[in-house]
Amino acid sequence: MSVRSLSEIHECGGTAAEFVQHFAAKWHDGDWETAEDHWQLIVNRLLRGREMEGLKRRDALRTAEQAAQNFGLPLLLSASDTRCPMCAIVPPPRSSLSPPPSPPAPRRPGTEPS
Amino acid sequence: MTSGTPGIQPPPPPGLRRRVSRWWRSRDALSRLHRWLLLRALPLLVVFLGLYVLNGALIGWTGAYNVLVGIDSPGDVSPRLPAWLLSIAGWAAIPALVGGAVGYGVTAQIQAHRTRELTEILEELRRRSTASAGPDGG
Repeated sequence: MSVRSLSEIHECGGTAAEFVQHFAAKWHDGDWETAEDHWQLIVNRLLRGREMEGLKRRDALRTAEQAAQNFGLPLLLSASDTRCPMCAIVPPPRSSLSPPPSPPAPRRPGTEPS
Repeated sequence: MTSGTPGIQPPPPPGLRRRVSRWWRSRDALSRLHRWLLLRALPLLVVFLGLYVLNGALIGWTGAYNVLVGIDSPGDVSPRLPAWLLSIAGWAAIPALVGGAVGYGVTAQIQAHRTRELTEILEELRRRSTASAGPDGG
């Protein structure tokens, strides 16, 4: 009994499948490995909520998974610029460091010594 | 005498008595466990060590250790009364106090899990998610 994988969540269909697809596509550029990793991390954070103490293991897992989807889907569907909270918290793995996702801020023209 | 201030002397450095009272009256700044360790456990430890040293002087260090951990009966050594006190400290008082203090620490560690509300955690995640994706300095 552990956190359900994204594929298991996806099999539920409906908004769950919608969440999984957007979670991987919009927040992780289709990188399922990172998406799965960050999905588990988010659920793990929510499992540490005080409300989880009274619940059985299975109920706590399902509650946290549902809370994660209820949290993520509106952000994923919103027009504003959002990103995976775990991408902001966890540094990216070493293997994906070679192509930096966003280049460093360019130096302002005229400030570099010539 | 400068104008605007009452013309009294600056405060003298506190004497020994006031320094001791200052230390004593600061004791409640300690956490519960540290306060108990300092004010209850430490005096009891001193009493226990005194008892052990007394028995060591009377019946030898090996004899005192054997009485303490229950290898030897306090009735088999002479004098008996200090040996009985050391024996009782060894199997009743010390284990109870150590167990109580460790149990308190373990309870505090156990209760440190799941202290935040779910809404608090979700709010932090939301903040992370909606923060601008530009350079955030880590």
